[in-house]
Amino acid sequence: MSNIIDRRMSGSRSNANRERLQRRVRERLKETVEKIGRTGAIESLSQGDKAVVVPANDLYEPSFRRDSSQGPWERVLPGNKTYQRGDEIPKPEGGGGSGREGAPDGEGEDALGIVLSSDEFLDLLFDGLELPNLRRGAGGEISSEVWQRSGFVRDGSPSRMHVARTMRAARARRLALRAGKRRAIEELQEEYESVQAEIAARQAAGRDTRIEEEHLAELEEQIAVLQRKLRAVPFIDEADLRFAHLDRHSQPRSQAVMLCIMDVSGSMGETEKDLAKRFFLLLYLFLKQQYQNVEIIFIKHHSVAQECSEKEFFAAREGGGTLVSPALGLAADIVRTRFPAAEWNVYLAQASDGDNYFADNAVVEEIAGELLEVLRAFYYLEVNRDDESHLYQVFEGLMEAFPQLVCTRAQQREDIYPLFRKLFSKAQVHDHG
Amino acid sequence: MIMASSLLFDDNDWTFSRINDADRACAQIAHDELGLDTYPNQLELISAEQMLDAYASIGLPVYYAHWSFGKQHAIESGQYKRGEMGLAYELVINSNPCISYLMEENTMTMQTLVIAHAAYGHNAFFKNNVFFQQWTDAEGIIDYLSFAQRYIAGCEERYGVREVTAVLDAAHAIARNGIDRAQRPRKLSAAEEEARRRERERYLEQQLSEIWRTLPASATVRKETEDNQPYPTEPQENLLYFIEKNAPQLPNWQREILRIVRKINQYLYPQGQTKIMNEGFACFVHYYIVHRLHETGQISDGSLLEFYASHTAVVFQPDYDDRRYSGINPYALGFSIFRDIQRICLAPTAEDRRFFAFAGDPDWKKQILFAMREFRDESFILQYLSPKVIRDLRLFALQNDPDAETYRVSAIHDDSGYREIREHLAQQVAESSRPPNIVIERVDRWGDRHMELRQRDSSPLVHSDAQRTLAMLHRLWGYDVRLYLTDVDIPLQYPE
Repeated sequence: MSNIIDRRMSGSRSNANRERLQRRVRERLKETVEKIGRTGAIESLSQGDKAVVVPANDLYEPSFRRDSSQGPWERVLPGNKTYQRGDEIPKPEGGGGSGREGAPDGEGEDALGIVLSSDEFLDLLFDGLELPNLRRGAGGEISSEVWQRSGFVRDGSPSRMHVARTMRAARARRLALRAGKRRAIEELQEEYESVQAEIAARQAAGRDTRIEEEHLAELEEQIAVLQRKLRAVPFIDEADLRFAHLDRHSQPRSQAVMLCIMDVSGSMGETEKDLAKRFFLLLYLFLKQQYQNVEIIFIKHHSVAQECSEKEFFAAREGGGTLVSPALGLAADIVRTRFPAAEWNVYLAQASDGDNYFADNAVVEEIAGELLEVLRAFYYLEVNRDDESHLYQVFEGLMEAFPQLVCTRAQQREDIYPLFRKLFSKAQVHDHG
Repeated sequence: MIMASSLLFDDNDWTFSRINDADRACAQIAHDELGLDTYPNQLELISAEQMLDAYASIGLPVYYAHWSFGKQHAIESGQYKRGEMGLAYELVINSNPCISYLMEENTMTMQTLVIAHAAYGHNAFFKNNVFFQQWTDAEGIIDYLSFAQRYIAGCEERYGVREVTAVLDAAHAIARNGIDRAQRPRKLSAAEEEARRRERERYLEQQLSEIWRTLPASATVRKETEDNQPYPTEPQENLLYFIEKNAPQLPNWQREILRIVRKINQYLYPQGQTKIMNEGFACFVHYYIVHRLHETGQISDGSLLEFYASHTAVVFQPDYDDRRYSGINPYALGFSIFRDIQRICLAPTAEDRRFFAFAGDPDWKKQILFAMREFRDESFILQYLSPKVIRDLRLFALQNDPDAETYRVSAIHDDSGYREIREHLAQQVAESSRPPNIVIERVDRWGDRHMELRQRDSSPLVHSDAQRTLAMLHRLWGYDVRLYLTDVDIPLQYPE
């Protein structure tokens, strides 16, 4: 009679091997992932599994093995059609044997495709990056409550019952309650036997045994009572129940907000928007992937600024003239009303082609200066310009006083990811270059 | 003896109760009619995903973690998803109870086929083949694998994944050269293993300090006698074992890992030595059982046709010039030979009588079971590959002289060729299942502790591979290693 078991629910057990495989080829994977980060279509960065190809040589497993292309051999093959003994068959070009062996140098295996889930992909894409100047002390920190397991208790909901602990308690109770009775029974039994022996002795001597027999009956009674009690000790009792205990723990965490400001005015052509969006998409994925408690606020502007949803932000195509100050003004308002700097780490990233109404630049300088007082970091990205705009120079002028302000420029899409890595890399928090 | 029975299943979806019924029907035929002796069975229903997992770890249900299994998994799941590879219908483990996997995608007909093939065919082979009996321990393997997994996970925690991986990489590289071909391994048991492990650790420390003593014990007495003896006194073919016992600097936990890799390889060794027989016998058994199920009215004509489709695909041998050709198909060859043993018993020709003493023995089951028990692939082919099978498969032998411009056909399926083909094929099968013969000849005990290895067979090795393997060996040995090859005078060495 065979034993039939349904294992389908016990799931896959390949994760440990998979993790070790990725660890082994991590540098290779990173290279490829970063290449995708530089040149891949932005929409696909966050979506779905990605096949990453690793040269098989990185994963080669050497062993002593024979070289079938060398030396004499004799081989048996199936499916002879016309050959007779002694026939000569020309060797195929390039020598070789059956054609199935790897190249003689042992490196002829195909490259290996490793499929990365989007989480694994993004982890590699953003490996070694962080938000700079994140304040973890008082102020930028609130505590949140989480449930944690902490020991065992005697009551709780049935779903949390801890079977092993319960059975252990039951066993302890049974042992404790029975041991005394067992010992008593043993003693009584010994006495019983000695009385029996005495009766036998007295009978042999022809003497009266009434008292002894009464004693015997008494003992029998006592033993029976104890045995009943012994049996009455329940296998499991309500007192044995143990439950896993959950407790609230407060856990400090730092909270941060990133304000994203994008110019969507008429002067921002397809190229400019593509560059800006690529930057913001990386920023968005990075924050979502690496940080649990980061708020992201999207602001788009032409001559008017407007807070919008993530979807509107990335789909935005508008027109019109450009004023930068309203966007910064809106950002300042939002920070003041919703993200007081005492409680939040506030960051700002702005992308623009640098075209701004000339007279507005003075206003920008003023508002930016005020904002910078509270910002942990301010990134200004200027896209697709050969020269530095006036706006860029305004920001550059502020860098002296505010080291957390970083101005950079990008000309083509391949620039964006390396630039992003530079801005957020762990080693260099302030790069004024 | 046709009994009136009712169908085991009338549509093709599997259910647990149908599997149960099919198993019972197969068991009856296997035990009562074929006279098979089997381990108790454990049939496990698994998903395709789990089958891929099992593939990656050579079918073992518990295994330690290593990147190479992840690599295997990535290759196979890639092929599977691209539709380049179908999954085997079955996977079976040489354990007691004997574990067979049934995939949930299979139809009920396929489940029946798999049960007959794996749970009765392979199972009986595992239990009765002498080679398996001598070399593997079906009782202890699952326990041992769990011990190995725990132990290696523990090492990873204590010494880090990187360190453990490096040891496993090196051990895997020489794992095929980690078999004692002359000696029967000891029984496995996780509990004893743990106890023995401690004992070994203690013993080894003494032992090692004995071999690597820097100060002679009583300087004058020993020197002339023992210390000038070359060490080891006999060439050692079990590289893993020798290093486990003799490497001067290896920490004990690393020795234990070598031992684990060696033990598991030893357990797997007979599978490589009996692939043709094992698959051939399982096919023979499933073929017999499924036909009997049909004759006794337990499966329908439709099921039988479906069975034929799968069976034919499994035992199909593409010709050498076919694009699908990838060597001799062990299922095809093994099945042909076992079927032919039955035919030689029941309907022998004059030719069969010339070749086989047992021709015409009415008790064909006895002959089949004898063949299954007593041989391994090499001797099985030498003993049983008949002229008829050689003709059916149209086998021929091809000779390569590296200096000649052409290959030469050295034998075909005719009277003068049968024996030659048989011998060549047996040798070819033996060679492909054997690692290159490499032995440790000498280690320099008193000097720089370098190790000298020598190749003892004549087939040339892939040099670049051998060089990389030496690097792995060096990782374990800790001192220079040199390998003298047959085809070149200068030894390979590491460091180069």
